[in-house]
Amino acid sequence: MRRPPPPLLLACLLCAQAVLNAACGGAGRWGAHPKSFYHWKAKVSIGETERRYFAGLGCERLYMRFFDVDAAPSGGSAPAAPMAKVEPFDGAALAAEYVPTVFITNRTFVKMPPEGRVRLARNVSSLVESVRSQNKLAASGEIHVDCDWTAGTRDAYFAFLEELRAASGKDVSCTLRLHQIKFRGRAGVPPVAKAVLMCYATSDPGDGPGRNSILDMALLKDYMEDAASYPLDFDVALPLYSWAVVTNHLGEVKLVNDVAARDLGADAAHFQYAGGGEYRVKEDFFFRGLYLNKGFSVRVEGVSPELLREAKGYLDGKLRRGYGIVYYHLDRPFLEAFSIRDLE
Amino acid sequence: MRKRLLQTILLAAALLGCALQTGVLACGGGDYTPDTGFYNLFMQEIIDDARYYPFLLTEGGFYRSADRGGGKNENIEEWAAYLGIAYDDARRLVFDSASAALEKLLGGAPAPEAGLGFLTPEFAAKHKAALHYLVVAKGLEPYMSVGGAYEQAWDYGDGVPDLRPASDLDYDETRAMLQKEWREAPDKELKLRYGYQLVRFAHYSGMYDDAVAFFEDCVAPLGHTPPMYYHALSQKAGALRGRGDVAEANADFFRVFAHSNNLKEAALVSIRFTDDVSFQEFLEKAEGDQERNDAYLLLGFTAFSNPLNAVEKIVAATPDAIQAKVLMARAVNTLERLLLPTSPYASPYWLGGIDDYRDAGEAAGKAGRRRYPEPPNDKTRAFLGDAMRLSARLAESGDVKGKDFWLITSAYLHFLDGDYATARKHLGKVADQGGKYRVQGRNLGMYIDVSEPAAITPEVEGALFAKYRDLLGRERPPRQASSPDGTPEDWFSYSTRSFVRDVFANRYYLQKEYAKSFLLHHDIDGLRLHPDLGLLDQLEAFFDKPGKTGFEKVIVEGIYPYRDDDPGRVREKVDVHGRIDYIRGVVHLADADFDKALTAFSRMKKREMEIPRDIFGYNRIECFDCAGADVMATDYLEDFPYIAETMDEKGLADALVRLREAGKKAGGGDGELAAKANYLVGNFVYNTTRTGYYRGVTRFSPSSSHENGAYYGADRADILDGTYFMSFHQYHKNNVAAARSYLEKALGQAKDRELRARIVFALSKCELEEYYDGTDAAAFAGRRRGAYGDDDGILITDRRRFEELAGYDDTEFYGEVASRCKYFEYFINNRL
Repeated sequence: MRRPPPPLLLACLLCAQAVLNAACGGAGRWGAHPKSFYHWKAKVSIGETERRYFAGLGCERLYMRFFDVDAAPSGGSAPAAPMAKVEPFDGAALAAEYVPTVFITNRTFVKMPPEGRVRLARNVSSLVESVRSQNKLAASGEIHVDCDWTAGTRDAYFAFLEELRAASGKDVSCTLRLHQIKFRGRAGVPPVAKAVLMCYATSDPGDGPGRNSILDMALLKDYMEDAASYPLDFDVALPLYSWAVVTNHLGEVKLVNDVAARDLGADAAHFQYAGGGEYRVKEDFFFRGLYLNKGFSVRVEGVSPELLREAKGYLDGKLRRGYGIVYYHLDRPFLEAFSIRDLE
Repeated sequence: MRKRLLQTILLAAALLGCALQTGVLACGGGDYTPDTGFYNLFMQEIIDDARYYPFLLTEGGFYRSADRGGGKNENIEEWAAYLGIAYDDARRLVFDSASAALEKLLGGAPAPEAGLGFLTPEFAAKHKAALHYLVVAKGLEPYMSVGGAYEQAWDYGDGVPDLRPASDLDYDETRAMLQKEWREAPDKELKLRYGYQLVRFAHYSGMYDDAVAFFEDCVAPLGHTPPMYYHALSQKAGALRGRGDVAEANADFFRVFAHSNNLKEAALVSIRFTDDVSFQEFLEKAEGDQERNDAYLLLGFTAFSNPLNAVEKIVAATPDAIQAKVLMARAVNTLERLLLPTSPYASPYWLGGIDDYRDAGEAAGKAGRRRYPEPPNDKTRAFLGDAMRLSARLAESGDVKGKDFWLITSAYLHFLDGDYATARKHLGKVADQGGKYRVQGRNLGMYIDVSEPAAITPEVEGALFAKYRDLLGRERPPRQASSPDGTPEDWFSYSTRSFVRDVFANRYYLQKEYAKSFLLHHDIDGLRLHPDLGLLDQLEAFFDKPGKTGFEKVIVEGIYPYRDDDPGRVREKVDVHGRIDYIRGVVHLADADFDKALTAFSRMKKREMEIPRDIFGYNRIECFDCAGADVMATDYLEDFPYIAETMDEKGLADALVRLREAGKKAGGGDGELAAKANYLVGNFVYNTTRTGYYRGVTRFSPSSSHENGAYYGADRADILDGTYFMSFHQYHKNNVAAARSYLEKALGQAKDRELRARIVFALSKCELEEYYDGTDAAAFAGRRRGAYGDDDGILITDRRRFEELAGYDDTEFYGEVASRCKYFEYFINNRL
């Protein structure tokens, strides 16, 4: 049993800590969290704003989604194939280490035999390399995989991650979702050195108004109760995005990406504010490619600087160790809702 | 870029191919039939226009009608008109004739095989150019497809994908040949067809610019727009898509949709696949009512849109437009899916958005006895109201010529709303009494008559039975030939019949006439899934009731089970009382009420079971699929000579009664015998619980292997939960407590340590099962059953009987258990 430190020493330590805090300006007890971003669009358009924020936050890495992988549910006839490959772009547009990121649907792994995993690992590895070389990106030592696996696909997915490491010769990292932290017994712990915990999507937008499905602090805290004891070191991903949740005449829900609250308020011809953050559609029209009928209701969900600050403060207190923050995602309309300071 | 769009096209083609082949069934995998789960009473085809049947509402692909009246091949019709021959002759010529035979014909040979007898040399001379075209077309046909995309999928980069097999042909040679033919074609029709071949060939070869150019140079200038023009236009649209001109491609696909009968679905699939369709442009560029209304149809067609908005827009200009009816039919079908589910307590809507089936069961239980069909709730009330008002308005509008559709739709919607008076009123005004209207009208009248009465009193029952005796009086629909006016009869469709029966079943249930409610869906053997003594008594009483009404006589027939072997689904006139007593007896056995079991079994005339005596033994191994001799071991049976080698159910009950009595004697020489007797009874009860090898005995299963019977949890013990007896939860009492009770008694009496070791081991199995069941709350308080990572809890801590058994390491039995029971072995090696 160790003796507690003598009072004077303690005072000195606390003093030093306070100085450190002041110097780092809100960096927290655990030091500044290095920042990076996800990039998730198929069509790359990195411009001035993106560069400014990226550099302003001292970012070095960009997790760029190179492609998705999906398999048709019937399995046999339509094997796992890549989808929505990122379109050719100019890697010089952003000074960053591009970390290839691949999104794989859960159903890809349903009933996948061992040879399927090996094949997929090889295919993923070589397509990653192909994208990298065609866009003249410097090689990254890492491949990042995003997959919302379940108890049923766990074994296949984990084996795939190992195969990918062997096939690519790179470090493999992956995403974690909140339910996988909470129910780690059922979900298992993936065989990676590092993971990124998506601290968002706390509920389903179809659950109705009254809760921010992107980030609800109460739910986040519930999921993360035992997060500090998770046997893997993880960075955290935080959301910057917003979307419109459209509810139709039958209570069904569709999402429209990249919509901010001001977009609805500015269009008085089509949207009537109905209170509580909800708008009613006044007449049939096309809204960002989705046909809305008169009578539908629309609300915007997003993340405000205050909510982001609250989330970060909570995570600091909860995790009590160093970790990186990866923002989802690097796109001007979302960035502009925050100042660089908000994101530090 | 190109590859992605090409894949989109291919996906579209695959989807289309799938939809065309499999009809209403969705593609790719098995038994999913998308249009089940609701009663589907409203006949959408009452729109009476076969061109638009594919756009009626179905979940899997495009709607497939049994009525193929409108399904002629436009290409063949065009040939028939051009050549002046019959449709069937044209079809044989184009599809069935061999290229070589046609060439011979052109060379002056006589008519080829039978069926093509009209291909005389005179005909050949007159239509030389046309036949030559067919030879060319048949030569190209095997190459006219797109292929190979999946193999290219793991590529990155911009190259033109290898579109085998079109690319198996030499592009320049083939192109030049077709262009020459086009120049030399003698008339517009053949020029159009060669132009079509050019556009298609270039498209499938990936030469998109060429394809578009060929359309503009070789097809458009002809000013000739029969159906084949739209086939060519469809190919051009595909090429536009391939090279990225999405908006233009969509405009062309839309035109194809609006003007072609055969290509509507393909065009629609192509449009729906795009990311940023601008229907607004369609509307602005639409020429004429047909195109504009089709644009509105597409707008209202997507699942997310409210079709009524589009209906309003259409009827504002053209009140009788078919597109408005299509959309309204879809709206009605949507409402049916929400308001008339066949399994009410499985429907999330019905329970207000509960998705988990476990919660659904609980909620249904709480929902209690509800009257079916239910009135609309918050989600549907507005939509149903809007639909009702709109159809009622059109039914009464002076601008609408074809009112019958709106009248019958309005009547049906008011029926869904529970407003039977208005429903009858509108139904009565429907003028057209033939064909589909006659059938739909008669059915709707029946739905109203059956749903409306507050209760099915004997008078109401008698009146309905008299009026609808044909449907209510028989089990299976009679085979009906087409009615005199040529429409296939729908009177006794499965969904109509089920709905009516289900409403009756619901009403009887609410009126607590449970026997009648039950028998409308189940026979006496059905009760084996959830043997309920109260309901058994009621069934027996109903079966024996004298002076049954006409309908009751029909209902009681349902008590007889169907013969397994008879495909005609004939019922077997079994001994109902015997069946009832068998179920009673088994229930009593499971309750460990051996006297009552014996009484019930003694009344039976026919024996049902054959039970080996090792039902009194214990498991050497756990294996439900293995033979009893390999699994069970027995002790002490010789001490009880009335336990026969094999017993029927009466013999078994008798033996159990005697064993129980033997177990009561205590002290003196009989103490050990009493202990053995109680031990054997305890074994019996345990062996017939859910994890016992002989569980089939108390669950009416011939064997205990995993394929037979359901051995899952006791979800709902009360069979009266739920709306009515259409489906009820399986339940069998899992009487571990009784097993434990007998074994504890035995332990209290036994002195011999070998016997005691056996009893303690048996008790440890009871302990485990009570843990699974969650019934031993005191012991396992605070621990969630089956919580992950909880293995050590159940295998080491709280295993009081294992702890006790560990003290018997001086016995022979201990050695047996320690090596064969893996849980015990783990316990011994790992306990703290």
